[in-house]
Amino acid sequence: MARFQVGDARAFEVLVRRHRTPVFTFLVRLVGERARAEDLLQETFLRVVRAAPGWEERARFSTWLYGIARNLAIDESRRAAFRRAEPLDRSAPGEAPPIARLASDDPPPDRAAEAALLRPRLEAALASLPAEQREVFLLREQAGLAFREIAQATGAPENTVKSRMRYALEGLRAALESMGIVGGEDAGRSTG
Amino acid sequence: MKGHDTIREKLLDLAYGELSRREARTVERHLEACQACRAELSRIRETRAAMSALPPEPAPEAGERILLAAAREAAERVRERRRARLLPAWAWASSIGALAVVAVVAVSLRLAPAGLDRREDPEALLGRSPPASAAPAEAPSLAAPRIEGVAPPAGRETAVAKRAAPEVRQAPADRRAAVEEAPAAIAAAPAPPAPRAAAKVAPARDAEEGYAVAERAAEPASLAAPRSRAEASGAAAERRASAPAAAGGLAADPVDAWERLDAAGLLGRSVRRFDGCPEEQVREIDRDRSGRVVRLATLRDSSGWVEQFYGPDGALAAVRFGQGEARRTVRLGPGAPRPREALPPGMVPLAAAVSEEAAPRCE
Repeated sequence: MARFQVGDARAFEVLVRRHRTPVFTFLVRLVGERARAEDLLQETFLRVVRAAPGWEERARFSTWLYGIARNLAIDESRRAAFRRAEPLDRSAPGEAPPIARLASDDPPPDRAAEAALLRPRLEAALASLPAEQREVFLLREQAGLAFREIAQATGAPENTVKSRMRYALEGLRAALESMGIVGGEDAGRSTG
Repeated sequence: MKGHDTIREKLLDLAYGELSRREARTVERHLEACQACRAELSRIRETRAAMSALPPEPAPEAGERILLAAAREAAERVRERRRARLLPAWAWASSIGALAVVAVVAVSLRLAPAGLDRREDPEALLGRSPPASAAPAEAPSLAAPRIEGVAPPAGRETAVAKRAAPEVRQAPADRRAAVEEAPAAIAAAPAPPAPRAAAKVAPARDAEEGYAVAERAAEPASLAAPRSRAEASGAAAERRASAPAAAGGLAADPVDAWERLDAAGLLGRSVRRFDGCPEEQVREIDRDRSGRVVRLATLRDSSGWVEQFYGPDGALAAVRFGQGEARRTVRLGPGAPRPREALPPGMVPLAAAVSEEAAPRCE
């Protein structure tokens, strides 16, 4: 980033190539729509370009980058919610989470079909989480930020971040169990 | 040992490797005795393992091109701003003036007849002699051109132009340079045909600008040849228009050479940033295509940008420093007058000692 600040465009190219897919993955799974995620991804990196002259290395670049991405996603989600009355958190009270529909599918598929279905099931499990839990989970698992860095990126206290992470893991566990992807009470069975 | 609830709070950190070694050992000791905590840690790990099967979502290709184009544009703006900061108006005028001199000399070198009258006056090449109108062909070794890859124009006359000359004209009658001599200095050049090189050099203003000016050998024809006569007269016109700011650098000047290479995109630049180092916040090293260091620039609290320019021999040939409009350029090496002011501290006299890896100069 320091090299880009002094006019080295190739340095930005390296940043883009390194972070674009991880940030896109984060955004797709945070907002749940590819088209919206693509727009947000572009806007995130354009913000980086515009903000580069004033950037100071107070935190890791990735912490700053994901902070920009999630703030844009939240802003965009608010606008979308206003337009469509559909909040980012699609598992709001009273609404059946997508996971419930997938969990009731039958009959059980064979192994190959099960493998093909695993990805949408995992995505559905993730999508069933409240947005703030999903966000923390994605920042920790996919972006690789430490809890302290997630606190910086989201502006939430670190203890709050950890609480959200615990709830996220419990929620995912419940969803995965309902789909038979992980074991029941006694952990130990292999994942599907 | 800490209580069960306290330890349980740490299971998440343990699962994600965010505990210190000492804390991790404490938690692990508790786990040996606590079935509930073992089960919870196992659930966390199993859930993570299951979710890790989610593959990344490849970002669409099209957007990348747009982003990189935006970044290139932004980077170019940054470079332009920095160039403008580094090169105040008089410096641009100097470059233009230098090109005018180069063009005049180049045309003259190409067109002057081989058997033209020569005056053996090596001192003239160093600018130490009384006015002379021509210099010998053997002289270039005394005032070697500093531009890489330039062969002396064998068999032709080498001209020495001195910027302190108030005006240089050519003599149309005998195709020789006619020099209108200044009281203190002289510019000597073989004569190009009158219609083809009618450049006039406006009076220099070393004293006004307060920087040392070295007399330099004129650029040989091989380098200057691509510049057209139209360019020469245009540059001369621009120079006249910008006088008295036309304290033009001469052809073989390392600053001019660097600027030409930079403008042509022939330089590779490495940039290092040293946070918390006031006397070397940024280090830029420009190399030409052969890997030779052409310029070392450092940004300092005490003296702003300090640029060190190196000749083909690897020796420090010029230093430019200062802030804003108050920038000074000091030429060094044989033939250069003694600098009128002190150079910034910490100069690197040899290009061989310039390195990206060298420790920053922090004071």
